[in-house]
Amino acid sequence: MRKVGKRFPGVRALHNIDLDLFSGEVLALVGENGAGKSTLMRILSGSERPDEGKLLLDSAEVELFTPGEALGRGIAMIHQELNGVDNLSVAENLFLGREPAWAGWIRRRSLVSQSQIYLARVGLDVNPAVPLGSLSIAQKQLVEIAKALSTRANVLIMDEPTSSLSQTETNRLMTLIDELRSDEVSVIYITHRLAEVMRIADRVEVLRDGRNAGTLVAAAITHDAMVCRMVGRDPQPLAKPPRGPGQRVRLHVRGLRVEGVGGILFPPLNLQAHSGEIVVLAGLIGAGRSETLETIFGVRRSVGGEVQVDAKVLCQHHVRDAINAGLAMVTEDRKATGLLVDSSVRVNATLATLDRAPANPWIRPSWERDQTATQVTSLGIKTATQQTVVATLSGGNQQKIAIAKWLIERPKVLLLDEPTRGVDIAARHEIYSILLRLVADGVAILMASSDMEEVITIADRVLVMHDGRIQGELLGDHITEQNILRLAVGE
Amino acid sequence: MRFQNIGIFLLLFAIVVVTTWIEPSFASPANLRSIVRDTGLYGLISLGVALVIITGGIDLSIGSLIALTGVLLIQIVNVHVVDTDFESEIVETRATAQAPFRGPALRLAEPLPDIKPGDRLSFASTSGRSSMIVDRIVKVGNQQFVELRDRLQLLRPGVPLRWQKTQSLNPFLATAIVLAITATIGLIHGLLVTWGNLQPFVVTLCGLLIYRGLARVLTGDNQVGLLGALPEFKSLFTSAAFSIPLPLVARIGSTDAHWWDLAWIEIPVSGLILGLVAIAGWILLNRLVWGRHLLATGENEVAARYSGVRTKRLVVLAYVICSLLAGLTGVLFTLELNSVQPGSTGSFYELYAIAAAVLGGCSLRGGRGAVFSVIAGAAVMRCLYKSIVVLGISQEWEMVIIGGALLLAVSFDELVRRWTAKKRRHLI
Repeated sequence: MRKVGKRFPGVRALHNIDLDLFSGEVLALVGENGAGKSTLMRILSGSERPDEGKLLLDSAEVELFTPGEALGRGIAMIHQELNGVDNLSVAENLFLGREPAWAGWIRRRSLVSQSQIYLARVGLDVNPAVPLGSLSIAQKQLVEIAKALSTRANVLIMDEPTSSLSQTETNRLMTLIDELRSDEVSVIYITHRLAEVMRIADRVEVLRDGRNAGTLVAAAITHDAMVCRMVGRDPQPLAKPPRGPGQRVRLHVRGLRVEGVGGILFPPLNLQAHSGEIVVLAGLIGAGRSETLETIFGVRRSVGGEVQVDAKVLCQHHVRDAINAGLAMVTEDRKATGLLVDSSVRVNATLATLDRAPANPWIRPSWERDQTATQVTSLGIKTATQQTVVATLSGGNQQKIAIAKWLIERPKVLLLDEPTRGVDIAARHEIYSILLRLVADGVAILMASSDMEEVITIADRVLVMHDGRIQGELLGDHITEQNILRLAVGE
Repeated sequence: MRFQNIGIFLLLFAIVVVTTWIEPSFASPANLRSIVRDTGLYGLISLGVALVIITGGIDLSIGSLIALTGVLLIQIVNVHVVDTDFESEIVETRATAQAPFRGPALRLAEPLPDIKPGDRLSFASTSGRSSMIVDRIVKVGNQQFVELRDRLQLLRPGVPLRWQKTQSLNPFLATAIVLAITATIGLIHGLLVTWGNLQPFVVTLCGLLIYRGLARVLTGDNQVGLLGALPEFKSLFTSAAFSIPLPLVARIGSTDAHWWDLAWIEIPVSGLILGLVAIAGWILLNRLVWGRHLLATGENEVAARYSGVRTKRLVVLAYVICSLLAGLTGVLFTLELNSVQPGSTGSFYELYAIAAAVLGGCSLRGGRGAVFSVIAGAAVMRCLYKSIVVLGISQEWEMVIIGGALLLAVSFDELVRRWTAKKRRHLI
């Protein structure tokens, strides 16, 4: 891949990336969340088009328009998000779209027997006839790997294949990759687990902020070398105004049982956030940060434990109760859960406070207009009018609206999940200053962030999560990328 | 949004103008009155289903519920005729309508202080006893005349008549009971959809079958009617509420009139009720927090819930209002038609209502809808129907034409949407 670039609305995800892959090689692609690994691989596997640069296969320039075309050229990708059809059987999923058939009739026996071959290779012992939906996440992940193997591709891309696998399954996968290497298959291996990289990779390519950040070969592949290149830049000087230590406990979570993806129950969780404090939940994707925030807010049922706001126990029946108690939450996926993207700025800004407005149950247009105007001005939201449809605004402005809707009535505790995802640098800094202004007024902020620079810039205290547990707490000078990464990978 | 909705009003205007141009009798006061009446009836169910569609749901049970409501109303009112001992001879008859009478009338030797419209007078005939329905009691001086709905037949002075009392439950009470039942049905729909997590299509499809079936079971699949009873109650809902003057219409209807003559169009009670419900609906969607929350829920249920909106309650409320309006429409239809055919009354009405809502700009994905354009949608459907009648096109074409018009309208709407979306993309 030569000089590949990709822009998303408001963000430039990749700048002039170069990537080489030799036959029979295992190339590890590492970098922080948002470094551009997944985007680059989606381009290579045909599910995304590059805005610039070119793709060379065996020295010939090619253009890949669809995942099907990529597959046709021997490039298969194992996705981080599982893409199977739960209602179909394991065997049907393995050969979805490529069913062994004769004149339109699926040859069931051949389907099952071939499936067994590939399932055995990944070490998955299930009946190919059972529906995919009955399998665990780890088993589904193995089915995805078997599916990629069954295409007999000569380039296999694995995007965090071990994130849901246990130690034995991971070992089995490592052996499998060794076998593939001896069959002259090239593997691109994306992971956060640096130990795996050291064990399996022939070469390591580090990405940072959508750019190449160095290549490591053989003996040079060490933990420190990789972390150093992932972190790269000097940490920015803190822009935080000096603040006294948080005095009052505003949020107190005691023994909260959070349910993770796929129904896994995390161990009881305890944490506190004080007034005037920004507490950041750090950790890798899948560590349970979003689930924790959503359970505190009440959109996700908790199985046990309690949440206190200003020493009052929250009746966790409905989000409404949490909001009335002074909680607010800016969600991770603003399009799906944060905003009504086809509605106006005004409707979005007032949605969360409308039923506590003075005129309730009536909507007083002047109140709506004035409150929206206040927020638009104080957060610097760039919009033509209050009636502008939110979907037409930039990511940064959308995110500001997602925050603004909680500020008409000042919350006691503000929860934020990846508040600057898909937001450009300038808007990002504006959002930080909004958050700093809020804590200065005594609000407690608990936010999840995967952006290391952000964590270091803004956090007073960092809680690093791993597998649904708080693995460690970092304060002051100890908040460094190395320390966070170390705790995040479970060390 | 505003720009898109204007299309339906233009379409309505175009249909009225074109039909009137071809056949001026389309604009006659009588025809306009019946269009307003029908739009009132169909508009009520269209508004109801529009609310449900705004939440992203659907209600297929409306037509069946109308039939069931009619059957229940008739059975709960329970009109029955009781013989009395009172017998009196005819003294005087007026065979044809002459002032102050509107129909045939007669006077009995002894006046009946308690007789009321809807009662009957029976007489001996060759085939046992026959009876006539009393339409009105008219006092001329201090003489009591009984005005009849039926012809006087062979009755002459001197024939003895027996008074038969018609008894029934208070019709207002019966209506209240029926509406309470329909609201409960809507509540069940809403609970099954929200807390039961069933698909609205399936829930109300089952409703469609069950209510139609119940209507047939309750009646033994026979037509039931009010037997000419309760004329006052009936006229309260089927008569004209008031009249409004319209310019130009008089001249279009007849060349004798001047351009500046005003034609007075009677607005039937159903039109008035629709107007009131529409105003209430507009206030709900535009001025009340619940309406805003309802639209938010329809556009993005998850985002609404994350903002503290109690989405389930609102969805249940939408189903309750929808069924309640279907029940109200069922009562009005029953009074209008006098009888209910349990197997066919109200068939397809849910589809007309959904069509009107879609014509009026509701998205079946939810989150979008406006009251007055839905009414315009209902009016378009009724005007198309009337046009077919007035223009003398054979009735078999009705559904073809309405279906085709609907398809054209939504295709046009989609084109406009794409065009504006493209323009929007260029702006970024």
